[in-house]
Amino acid sequence: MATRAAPRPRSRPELRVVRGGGKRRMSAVPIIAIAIATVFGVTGIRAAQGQDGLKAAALEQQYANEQENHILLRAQVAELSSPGRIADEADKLGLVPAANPVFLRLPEPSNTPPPIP
Amino acid sequence: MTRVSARRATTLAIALLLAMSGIGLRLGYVQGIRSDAYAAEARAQRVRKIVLPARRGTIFDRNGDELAVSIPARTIYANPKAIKDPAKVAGELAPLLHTDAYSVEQILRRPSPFVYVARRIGVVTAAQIEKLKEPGIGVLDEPRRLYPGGGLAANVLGFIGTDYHGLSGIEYGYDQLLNGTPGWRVLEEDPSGNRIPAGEFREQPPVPGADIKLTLDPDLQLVAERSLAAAVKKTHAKGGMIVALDPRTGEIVAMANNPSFDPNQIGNIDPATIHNRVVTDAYEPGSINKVITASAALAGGIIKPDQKMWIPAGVHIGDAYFPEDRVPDESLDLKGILTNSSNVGTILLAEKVGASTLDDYFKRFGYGQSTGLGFPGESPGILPSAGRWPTSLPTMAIGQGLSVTALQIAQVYSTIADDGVSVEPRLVSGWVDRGGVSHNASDARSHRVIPENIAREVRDILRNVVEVGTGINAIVPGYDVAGKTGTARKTVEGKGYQGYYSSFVGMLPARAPQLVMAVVLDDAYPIEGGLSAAPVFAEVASQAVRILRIPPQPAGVPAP
Repeated sequence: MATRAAPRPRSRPELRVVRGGGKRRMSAVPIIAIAIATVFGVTGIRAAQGQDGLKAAALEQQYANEQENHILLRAQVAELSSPGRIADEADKLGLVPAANPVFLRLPEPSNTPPPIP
Repeated sequence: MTRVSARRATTLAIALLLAMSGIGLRLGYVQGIRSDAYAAEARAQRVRKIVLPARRGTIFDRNGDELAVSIPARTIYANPKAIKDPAKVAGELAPLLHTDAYSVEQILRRPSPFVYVARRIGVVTAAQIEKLKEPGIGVLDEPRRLYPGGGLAANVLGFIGTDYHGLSGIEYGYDQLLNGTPGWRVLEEDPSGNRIPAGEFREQPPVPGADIKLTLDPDLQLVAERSLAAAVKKTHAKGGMIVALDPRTGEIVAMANNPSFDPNQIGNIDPATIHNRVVTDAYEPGSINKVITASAALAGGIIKPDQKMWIPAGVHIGDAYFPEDRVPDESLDLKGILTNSSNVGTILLAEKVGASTLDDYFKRFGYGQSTGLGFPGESPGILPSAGRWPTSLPTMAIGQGLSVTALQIAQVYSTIADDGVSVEPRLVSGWVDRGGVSHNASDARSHRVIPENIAREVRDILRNVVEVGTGINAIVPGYDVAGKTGTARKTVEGKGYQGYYSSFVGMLPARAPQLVMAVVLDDAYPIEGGLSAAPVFAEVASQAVRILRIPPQPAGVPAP
């Protein structure tokens, strides 16, 4: 009886040593990138906020100045339109009060002709 | 390691430990025990609280134009201790402040940490001073009161003091209403004084004062003031007053005083000129008071309008003799008595009316009491009892021995103008409160003083006074005017009678008066009210009818 030849051992890839545990380590690069982005982002936002704050302060100041200017101009108008000044200016121009003002008496409502469209 | 090295290392470690312990202890002290105090100190360096001044309310005339308004202004202050070279700083400030450098330098050399250099200057000048960036010089917001009309109605408006509170007139009387509540702002600043944008910021806005609307007509006020000033000059009077009001509403449309002042120049005000004499000064009215005696006589049925009575050359009452200097030995009716301003006729009527009744009429017409105007310093006048002395009744009947204000006497004629109803006079027609809500002043209180028919009869008599009597110079062409002249002896404190008050009180149109005006001149020449005060009435009234749109007497319509 013929004997069966012993099976040839299968060729296996060479075993290699796997270092470390089973978990994969995350790369530090994205973390650093995120951190840098966060720092720059926050700084940028703060800078923009500061810039807007400065703009707001400037606008507030401008508003206050314009308001002051408005009050001063109104006071100037009041001074220029005061009856004393107008009378003095009229005097300088040689104007005199009207001697005989005429009062117009309108007819009674019942006698008023209807308005012409 | 050698033994030496080991020893050195130990020593160094101990030294480091001690140093670290010291630092740690200090850190604990600063950050722990004293943390609040240091935090507060640091905050105080950054955070500043600014007081935001409240706008004082505006005073408007009846047309809604400004008579008194608050405008932005700045105050320049200094910390002399922080100024190294006062002469140099003064040299820079003086031209901007339009003053001399020496006086500014004197201020900057004062031994005080805070001095005012200039108060309430213009914002442009203040900005120029700020640009100098001189250490020790600062700028504050301090609004300024501006009276756009200058001296227009100055005695009515009054003025305010450096603390921005009213000192006289409407400014004083309505100070609480006009004054606002200051606000504040808390903010963080860097060492250069720039606001830190994301820093602390809190604000309580100021609440502005209420705005007040007066009943004064600015055009008529100007006419009254200028005519009065011209009359004072022409008659060499010491001063004068005019008050004009609408008898139907009690609204005072003009209130002029002479001498007067400019409230924009309070540093140069003569204290004698600031009073609103129309309400503060009481004087003996003289013959214009005779309308009360006439009203009492008519209302009491003592005399009928057409009933004549004999006017002797004079009357003895008590130990006094009252001569008749106008119409002796003549029969006159009431119209004749008033038209000729007969003293004896009026005294004889008063005797018949009686002291008690005349007293009652004086009080009903408002003598001896405030008019209800509520003006600061208003005088109630002096009203002694007509029965106090034997001569009290006759003298008071002709307007001596008692004192009234020009407003009170205008009020008497306003009552006659309004058919016997006395309407309380008023100067304020409304206000806008701090919340911006408008309020109208409540309707003026009124009460009947004399019956309507009596008032009309007295008015008719007063029309005659202007038409043919002593008030002929008060005629306004095209209008029927009713009024009465007065020439009263003037009492000077401690000197007895010295000088005269010349006056005229009139109304128009006499049939339905829309305007009552009293003109009083102090020590005018000629002394007679008919010659000095009545022309002023005519001049002002002829302008008033245009300003107030009072139409003339229609042709053919009889007078009352």
